[in-house]
Amino acid sequence: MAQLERGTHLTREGAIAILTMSNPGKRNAFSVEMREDLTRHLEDLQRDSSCRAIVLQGADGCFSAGGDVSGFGTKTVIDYRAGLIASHRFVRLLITGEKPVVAAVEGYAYGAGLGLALCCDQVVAARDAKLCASFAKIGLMPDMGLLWTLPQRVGVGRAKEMIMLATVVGAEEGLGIGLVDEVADSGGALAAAMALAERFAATAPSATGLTKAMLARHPLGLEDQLEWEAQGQGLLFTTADVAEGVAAFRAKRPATFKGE
Amino acid sequence: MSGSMVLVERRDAVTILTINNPRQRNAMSGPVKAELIPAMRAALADAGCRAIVLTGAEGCFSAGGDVSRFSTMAPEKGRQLVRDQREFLHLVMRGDKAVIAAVEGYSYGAGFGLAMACDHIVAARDARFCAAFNKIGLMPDGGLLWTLPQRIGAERAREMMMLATVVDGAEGHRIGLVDTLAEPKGALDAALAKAALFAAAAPIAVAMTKSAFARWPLNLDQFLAMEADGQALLLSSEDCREGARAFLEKRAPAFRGR
Repeated sequence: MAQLERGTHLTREGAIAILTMSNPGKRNAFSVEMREDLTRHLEDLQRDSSCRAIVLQGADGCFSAGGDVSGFGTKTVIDYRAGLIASHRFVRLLITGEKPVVAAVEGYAYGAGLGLALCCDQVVAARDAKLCASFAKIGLMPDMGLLWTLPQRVGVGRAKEMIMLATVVGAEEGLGIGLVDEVADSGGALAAAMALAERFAATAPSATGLTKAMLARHPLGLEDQLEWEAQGQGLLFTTADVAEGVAAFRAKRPATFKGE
Repeated sequence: MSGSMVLVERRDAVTILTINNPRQRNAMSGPVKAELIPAMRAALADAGCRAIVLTGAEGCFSAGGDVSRFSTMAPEKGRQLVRDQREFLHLVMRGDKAVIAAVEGYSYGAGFGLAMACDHIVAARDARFCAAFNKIGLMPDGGLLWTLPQRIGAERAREMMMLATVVDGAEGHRIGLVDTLAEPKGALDAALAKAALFAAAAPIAVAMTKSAFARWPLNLDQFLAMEADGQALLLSSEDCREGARAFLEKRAPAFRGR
């Protein structure tokens, strides 16, 4: 396969969109092109009803080694801040968007790369993949929403150690502590992520979308949670998908959801 | 600078605070708190100190409050007791430096709350943790209702707090209550080894990370706003330039907190 140029590339396999991040020769270190493409594709996909799940991966067997260190310490505070805020557009699209997203991690998911993986709903990692909140190694705090996502996955104690000491976590260990949801064979993360994405793609889009929207509001007090649940479920009861789900349940056949 | 109830020792960049009230199994009594609070303040203000280890003398972390005084205490006295406790917990959780608990023996009641307020918990395999409060008709204090569910999840926290279940170091490690497991009598050495790693981390990044955790609960938008402000500053710090240089030169960085 020809080497992909710098950026984020969209391909489709049926209802699943595959986003591939590429920065050749830099282990897919995060770049402005990658950011802009990712944001644009995610915005388009939110509006595309034929897309029912998204897989995010890195090109050439490496998810992403994080930020591009060569650009650190060279710009002004306000420029860095603008860059971070620009990145938050795709962070929000991944976390609060309605499409389920599966990360397929081969090689390294370090720093911003780990942040990106944890913005996804599910993380599939190859057995020899390595995950690290490597920010502390260069004197940085976590970004890409990691301070919000990581403690929810691994608890506060492990999150603090991973963040402050930049501990490297392998896929199997990650599975044990909840950092990773599924371990695949080396080179098999994409295939496993596609299989998982197929299952998400078969779910009722509105139910999955509203579930994501609720989880994205964490932390909510009990009363707010119950109120949103009443609003959301009230809407879902009126959909054709629920009628189809009930009919399929009675007929003991799998349901075919259309997002209607 | 050593008082009688709290021993203070600096080893390189790590300050060790030892609760020294073994007759009461290092209970968080008034006199202990009266020395612990200024000792923690001093360690946080000490520019040479980059991490703090909190432990108890003679193989016992802290068996809780001073139970002998509980039954005769007037309500206003009890509230003051919990407020003093809060002052210390604020220093531990809102301070800029990583605090590591080295736990041997008992970490019960207020002593359990104290350990859970720390950033990293090192415990001997046979150490014992217990939210012992409701054994004597009390609710949890020492911030446990906030800290414990974040560490081990709501269900386990509920069981530990409502039934005063005893969890040992080994089980604690399995459920996320304990971060580093040590052999019996080895908690302090293991904690010092870990503290050296925290001490070598970039001080501003550690402080900002701690500050973020201490503000929980925040929603995604609030985290992202904090991240943009904090990371933008850090990206322009001397430490970040040093970190990037060290990374490219494949050597360990020397962070100075600038």
